[in-house]
Amino acid sequence: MNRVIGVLFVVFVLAAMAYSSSERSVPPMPPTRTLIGHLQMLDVAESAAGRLVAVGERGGVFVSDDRGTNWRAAVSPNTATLTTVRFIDAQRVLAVGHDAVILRSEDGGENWQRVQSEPEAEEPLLGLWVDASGKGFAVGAYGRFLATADGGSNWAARELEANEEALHLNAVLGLGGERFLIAGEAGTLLRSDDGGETWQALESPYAGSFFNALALSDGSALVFGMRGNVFRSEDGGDSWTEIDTGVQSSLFGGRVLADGRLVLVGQSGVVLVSADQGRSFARFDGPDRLVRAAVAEIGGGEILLVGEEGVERMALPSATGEKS
Amino acid sequence: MLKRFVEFLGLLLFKRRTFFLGLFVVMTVLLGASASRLQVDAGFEKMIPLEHEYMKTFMAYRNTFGGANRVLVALRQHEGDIYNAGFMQKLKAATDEIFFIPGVDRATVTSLFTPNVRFIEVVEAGFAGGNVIPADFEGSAEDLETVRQNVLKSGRVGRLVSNDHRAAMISAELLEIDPNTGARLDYLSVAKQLEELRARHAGEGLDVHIIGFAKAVGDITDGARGVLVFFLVAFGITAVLLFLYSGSVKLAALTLVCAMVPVVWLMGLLPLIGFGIDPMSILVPFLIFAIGVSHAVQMTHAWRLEIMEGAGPLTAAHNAFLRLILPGSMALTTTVVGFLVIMRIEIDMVRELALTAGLGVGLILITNMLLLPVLLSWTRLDATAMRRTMTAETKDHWLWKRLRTLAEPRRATVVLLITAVLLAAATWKSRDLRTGDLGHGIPELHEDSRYNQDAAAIVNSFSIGVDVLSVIVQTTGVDGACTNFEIMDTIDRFEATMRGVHGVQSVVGLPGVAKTINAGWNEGNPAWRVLSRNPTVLAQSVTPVDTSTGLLNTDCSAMQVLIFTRDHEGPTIAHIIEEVKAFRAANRSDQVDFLLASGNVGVMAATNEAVDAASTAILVLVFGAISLLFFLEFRSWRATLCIILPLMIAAVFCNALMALLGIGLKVSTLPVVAIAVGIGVDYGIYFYERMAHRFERGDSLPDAFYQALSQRGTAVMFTATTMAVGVGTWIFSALKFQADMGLVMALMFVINMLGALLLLPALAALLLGDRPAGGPKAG
Repeated sequence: MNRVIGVLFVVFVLAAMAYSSSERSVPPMPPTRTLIGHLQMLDVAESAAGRLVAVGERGGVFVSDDRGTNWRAAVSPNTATLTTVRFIDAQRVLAVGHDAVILRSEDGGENWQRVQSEPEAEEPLLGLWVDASGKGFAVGAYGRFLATADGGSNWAARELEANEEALHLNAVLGLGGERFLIAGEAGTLLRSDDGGETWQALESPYAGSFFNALALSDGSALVFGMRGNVFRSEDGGDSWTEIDTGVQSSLFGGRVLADGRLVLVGQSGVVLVSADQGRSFARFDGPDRLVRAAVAEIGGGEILLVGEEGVERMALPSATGEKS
Repeated sequence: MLKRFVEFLGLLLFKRRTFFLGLFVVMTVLLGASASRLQVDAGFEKMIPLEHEYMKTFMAYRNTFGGANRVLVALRQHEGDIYNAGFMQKLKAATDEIFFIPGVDRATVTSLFTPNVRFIEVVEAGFAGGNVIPADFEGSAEDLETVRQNVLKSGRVGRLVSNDHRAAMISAELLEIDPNTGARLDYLSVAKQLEELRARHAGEGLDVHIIGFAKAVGDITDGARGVLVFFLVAFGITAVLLFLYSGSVKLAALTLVCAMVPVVWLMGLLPLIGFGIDPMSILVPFLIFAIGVSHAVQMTHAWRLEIMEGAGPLTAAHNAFLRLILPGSMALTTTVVGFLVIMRIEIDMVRELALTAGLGVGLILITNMLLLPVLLSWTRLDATAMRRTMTAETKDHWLWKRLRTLAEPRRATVVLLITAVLLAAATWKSRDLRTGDLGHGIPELHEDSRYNQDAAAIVNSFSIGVDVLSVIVQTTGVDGACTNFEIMDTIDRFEATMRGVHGVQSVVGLPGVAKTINAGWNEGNPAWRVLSRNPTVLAQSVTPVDTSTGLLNTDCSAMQVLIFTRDHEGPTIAHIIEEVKAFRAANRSDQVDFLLASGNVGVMAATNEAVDAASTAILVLVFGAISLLFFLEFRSWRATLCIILPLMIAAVFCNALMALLGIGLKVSTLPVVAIAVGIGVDYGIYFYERMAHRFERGDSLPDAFYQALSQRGTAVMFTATTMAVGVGTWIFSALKFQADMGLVMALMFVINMLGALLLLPALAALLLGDRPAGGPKAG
């Protein structure tokens, strides 16, 4: 009996020793997930219902239903960097990007299908405009121009003769009615007065590139780009007035806010705000000096900055607030 | 045979005792002189398991991409940003000073003022670039504004300039071996010069934060110098307790002398065999002292018992010698073997420690088994001391009587049951023991130490941490891998994936930089931050990246991806490594492979893995070796188990204690278990030898145990308590490592004592039964 107890004890000690020094597993860690902050985001769009969809580096698509606080990754077959995203209506969303890729979602941006992709062409799509009827345009590098009439399911490519040198086209937007504007490389400005059928080159006020354009609520248009250059036109692009922004940083994105103010964002964390339809700007730089590619209004007096390291919320001074 | 040799040795020793004493004195004087040449010897490479797979990559690419031995110096301003003439002047001066510190690899010195830091600017005409600080910089307001703009364009914010623009960084790599002279780097001198640099520039609203292995070693060594004080305190406590115990100044002094002599010899021998003392192995001299005291007390105790029975000093010494030479030398040999087997672990630092400790314990064999009896043979005890001895012995009887019953089966069962419960708890807790560092900064120093505060300050204001894991992407058979879209895209995907891994702070790699440059070629438009599929276009994006960035080698066959981690805790590192391996498994091909690892975190990963593997190996080796020795000695597995089991239990408790105290398992703490076992062996052997001796002579087990207790129990209890108190004072050390070790060791002394006093007899009662189970071969 005693011997049995002794032997049992020996076995117990040996087992304890073996267990104590056996391999230890790493304590569980949160799973590896690419979050929005890990990628450079290039554009954001909001639906009428308040949903935000952001797109960017390596084909990342993220969706937020709480004003940009929480983001979840959408399901997409694409890994090419996306440059622009636009809602057609609450359900239908389009996105374009590198490899001339066009993506389409019919569930508000949760799931995406590839409409087209031409990796070997080396011609990224950089700008997109689409309206609720499903009519839309996509523009891109080397003068690429595509039009759709059915909400992005079918696209027809066209050469724009007005863009003789096949310069990069960075943005396309509607100025109201049948009038459309394209802004691009080396001061390129193209206008169509017939719903996008024919395009004419406008006399450009600037030799550098325009990266984006805005249609303002008073009917005027704003184009902006390299090294802080902003131009404003009240006659649909026939004549342009240079606006002194006081910044040397390139401007990439802009948005007209609900209260009529407009915000431009760009390099080195520059944030410009205008309360007078773009006639003058005040600088309200963000919390850091990261590159910002786009901006969205998220309500509550806040805007969402989109760019390097994903997205960041920033409080805007109130419309009546101080301006520097 | 052995018995006859022992008798012969005894005769020789005591017949020629004057000669031997003279010999020992001469040795002590000579080695003492040599000990003054002992150098503090710290090294980066000896902490590294060079045989580990990761470290092969590390060594293969260290010349291309730099090693992991960086020094970071951050100048931080209290008020306002760095763009003022005063700050720039100090930054320039500090950069120049670091450039000229011997051991610094000058090509790697990086700050705003070094030519390897450039910016790229997009202008209407295309690209412009230059040094961040223009060559004609004079500190004018205009110059400073230019610098501010250039810093923003350089993309070095977060790396060379803090995110809040109030601090700037200077970083440099150290070369451990001077390529010209082949001389080893003197880390302490580097640390001293860095401290002088701090003294010169700190103040006037400016803080200087310095981190890096060299500085850490310097600070640890400074803390380790305090060890001397603690050594003296322990020495003092031991002296007082020895006097109280033996009631004789002479005996106390003799014990101390014989415990100190091996320490002196060891410190004298180390320079002779080309070794120094590492700040991390400061435990070893104390350990030798502790084991020395333990054996010396046994010897003096045995001698006093002889004196009490009426023998003269010489006869008593001779008899004590004959009684203890076998168990004593066996205990010591076992400890030496225990240490020497650790040398199989392929980390130089561990080998060094094992060799040093093994050598030291070997020396105790000479001093305590030979020198001490010789000294005792001349010692005469006075009457008071004699009386004290007598009362001490009688006073002890009540305790021994109580303990005696533990060797009865029923009591023994209770003891084993209680032990089993405690062991179960300890085993459960020991599972929490983590490999690697725990907490931020370096765990050897207290959290509020200057170094750890500096580390925290740098981590908080810069986006790159101090901790970087570098993965080498190696391509084979690809001409111009940098312009191969498939390969670059795979690496880009790797970067993006790693950013999403828990514990990763940021990732820097060639594709990411090339993408930024591509955007630069396209007027700075972030929409063009992509890799082109066209090799010619891709080449344009890669060409501006210089090899000095450490992101690619000259023919682009290897590219480095730097993964900055949030901390360097063991579990974080293990997790990131696992994720890298998962990506590698899914993406490696004939053309491209992702090799682990370099960077300080890469070194830690390899070390942690080696330590993990070694921790089990050490236990198996130590217990295997001493079990074998015991078996050869006692010719009984049951006897062997009686001694080994308490030691195993102590080892589990040791792991549980470390887990409880938040001490991670790493190179410096790896040998602790072996040391704890080394201490415990003595108690077990001294006890068991006496017990088995009486048991064989026909005593019942409780009686045999009682005899063992009264002859050797006092000495065991006394040494364990003394040593526990001595190392216990380390808790107040400036080195957290030493404070932790002090606590662990103190508890190990106590646990080992309890194991020998309580558990060993209980085990014997249940395992040996009534049958004599053999004894020492010579017994």
